[in-house]
Amino acid sequence: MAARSPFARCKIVVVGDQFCGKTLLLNSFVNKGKGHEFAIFESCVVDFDLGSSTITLSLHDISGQEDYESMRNLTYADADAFVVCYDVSKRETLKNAEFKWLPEIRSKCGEDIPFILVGCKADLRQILHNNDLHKKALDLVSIKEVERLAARFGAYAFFECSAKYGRNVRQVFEASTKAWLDTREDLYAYFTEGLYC
Amino acid sequence: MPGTFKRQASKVWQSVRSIGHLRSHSTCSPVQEEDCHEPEQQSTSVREKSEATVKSDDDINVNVMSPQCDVELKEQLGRPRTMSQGAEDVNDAFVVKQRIRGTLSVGTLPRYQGTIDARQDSASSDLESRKDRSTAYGSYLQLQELIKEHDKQHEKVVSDKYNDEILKDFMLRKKRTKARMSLTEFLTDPRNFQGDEDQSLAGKHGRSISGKTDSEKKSSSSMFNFFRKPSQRPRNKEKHKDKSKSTHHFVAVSVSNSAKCDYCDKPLVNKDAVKCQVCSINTHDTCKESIGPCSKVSKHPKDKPPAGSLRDKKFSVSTSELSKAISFTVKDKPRPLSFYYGQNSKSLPGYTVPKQPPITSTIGRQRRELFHALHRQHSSSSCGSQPINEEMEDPSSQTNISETLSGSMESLDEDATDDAHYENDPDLVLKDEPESWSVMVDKKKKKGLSKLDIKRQDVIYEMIQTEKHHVRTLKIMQKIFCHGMRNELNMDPNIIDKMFPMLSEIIEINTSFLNALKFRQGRSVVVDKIGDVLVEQFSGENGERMKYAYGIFCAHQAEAVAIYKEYKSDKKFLAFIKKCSQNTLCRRWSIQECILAVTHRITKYPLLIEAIIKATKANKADYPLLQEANTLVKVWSNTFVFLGNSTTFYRIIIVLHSLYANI
Repeated sequence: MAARSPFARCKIVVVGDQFCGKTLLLNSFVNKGKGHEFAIFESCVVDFDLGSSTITLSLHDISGQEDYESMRNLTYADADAFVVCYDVSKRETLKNAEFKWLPEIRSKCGEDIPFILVGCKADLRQILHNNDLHKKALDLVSIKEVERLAARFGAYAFFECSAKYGRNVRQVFEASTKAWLDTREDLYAYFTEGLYC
Repeated sequence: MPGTFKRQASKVWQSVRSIGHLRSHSTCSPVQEEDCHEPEQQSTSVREKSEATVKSDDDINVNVMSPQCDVELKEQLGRPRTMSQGAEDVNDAFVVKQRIRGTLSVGTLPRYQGTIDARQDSASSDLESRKDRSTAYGSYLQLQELIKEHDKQHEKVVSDKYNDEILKDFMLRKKRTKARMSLTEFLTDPRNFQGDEDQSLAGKHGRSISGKTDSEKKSSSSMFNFFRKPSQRPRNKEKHKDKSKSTHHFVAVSVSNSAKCDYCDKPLVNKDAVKCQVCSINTHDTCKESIGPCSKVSKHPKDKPPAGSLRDKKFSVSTSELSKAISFTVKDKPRPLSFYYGQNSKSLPGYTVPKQPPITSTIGRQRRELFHALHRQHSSSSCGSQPINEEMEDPSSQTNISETLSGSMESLDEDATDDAHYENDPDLVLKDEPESWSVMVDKKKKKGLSKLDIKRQDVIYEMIQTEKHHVRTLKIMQKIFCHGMRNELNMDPNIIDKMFPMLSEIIEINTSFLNALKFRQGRSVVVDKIGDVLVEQFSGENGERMKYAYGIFCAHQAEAVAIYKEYKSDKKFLAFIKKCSQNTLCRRWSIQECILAVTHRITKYPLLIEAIIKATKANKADYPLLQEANTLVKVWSNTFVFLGNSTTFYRIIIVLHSLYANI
């Protein structure tokens, strides 16, 4: 394991509508919810191995604060990167991501704050196809559609993930860490090239 | 643009208005809602208004605006708008906010210090005029200072009155001592040098001697022990206790033949035995140093003034009784930092749980309640800083010798007990526990249960586990961060108090909640009923207490983080934080994460309760109770999260805090 700086810490906040899968995404990332669904995610500090080096991530979930703006502001303070979630089966959550969450994080943390757009519950698509419910499957938010949107929003990356099966979960946090490193030129060389010691 | 931004813009608009009012030294007037009617013109007018505010700011205060601030602003104004159409007013609102933030961040903090200093000279004005002045300055911090000042004055009156009684008592006793034996007599008496001075003294004064003196004799050099006047002994004892944090209150007792020491398990007979008044633990006098902290710290007998009982037993009091009286007189002397901390870790004096619901329609009530809450927050720090009555102290050289001696001895003792104190705490130790109930329990027990029931048990288990983690986080804050900042960095206890407001109170609340939950869990593997515990916690007295403690904590969070960041530039502080985060108990959490975790916890209760409800069948006896707990906890978190919406007074505070938050 490469050496890490205790104070070069990336604070990632996961935002999105209620019940769109934030908590499960986080719990599945920290390997907690294997075979079991937890109701809440406790903020935690984890080491994340980027291959060449290890970065300390501080993960936060805004679940339970969806209705409390003042409380969210406290969570947003000093955030380094955001993961904006929507539910692929609910179109309105994508709308909220565009019109509620994105402007909110930008107004609180600056226009240039890096963020990743994530479509949760991607396994639903497969399930609907398997059950011959193609018509319903068409109602889901399509990947192409969101890719265009993500480019327009200025998202660092876009993923569709399934926390239930652990698909793309790691990539989401890898991308958000890299998005943060991009903004920190002073650290970028250290971490990506493994020069840091 | 959708409503949220407009709301935001209007919020900024309102904040600008209110700050504008404040800045122009008028009294705080309620924000009129009619002003926010035209959202189209709003954004531009906001900008104008904010610039006007800034201008007036410049007039008042020269060092408010830094040149960088202006440059930054121009950049923001000139920056191409990256957001899609319709985002204009959001951007404007953002710019305005930035602007306000700039002025506030540079302006209010330094000015606040200056005014406080100036105000200390003119302490004669009454509270009402001060309140107005404070609102005119527009800083919440100032407001707090004012309230604190008021509290100090108030408490001074109370404690002065109280001191008189104790001092009278003290004087009488002192006279008596003098009449019996002068110092020269004492020094010339050869018996005093033979190691059993205490016994001879005890004989002369007709008092019983507590076991404490014996141990002190052993721990400090016995050569100088006789220099110590009997009046100083209990005081040192108190000081010692506060430092080592083992808040037992030992009294010498005679025990039956069968009694055993709770520490070494050997019989107590024929040895000096002591008993803690609080947790009623019996132990050898020699073993008492090794015993961990008192389990019932909160019910501190010394926090309650022993006014009535004192006069009745004036001359026939035991040493412990005397120590009570004397510890109160000496409390008013300037003490080492550790003394204040000792106060903080106990329950705050003068605290009563308000019976009324906190949100009422009148502004006056709310203000009073805020004062009350703030009073509680600061009473701990203000009660130790009374002016001293120097006349009572004998300024002889002997006092100094014994003081310096005991001081050095205490610091040695402290080092010995320091490491042990948090490793003994069962709540702090990291244990490997199964992550869910279904993993922990074997198949036999699960046999009769449906899938839903298992799910229910899982959530209940999760609730208890996460509550455990929460208590641990709180204790880490107290025992590692607070303690370290106080002892290693010698920081001002007021600053520590501001960084962790209401911490001891919150710990008390959550520990009792956790114990209730654990008790329920301990009764049987399958927790049949949990709703009643939840309802009890979130309603009535408990609920009010919790609401207050967390309300204050949340309201001060932004300030706490700001203070933390201010200190982060200090190398010594940074090294300390680094050292702490290497502690395995901390799980590499920093202070900021701990503070955030406390406020996060309250928002998680509704989620957990909802999850339990989901897994509970509607015909179960627990169901209505859970529903009740759910509504309670929702109303409860609403009340203090939306404190700002009810009155202008609160709104200004919340707005100021939200502005501070991003500094």
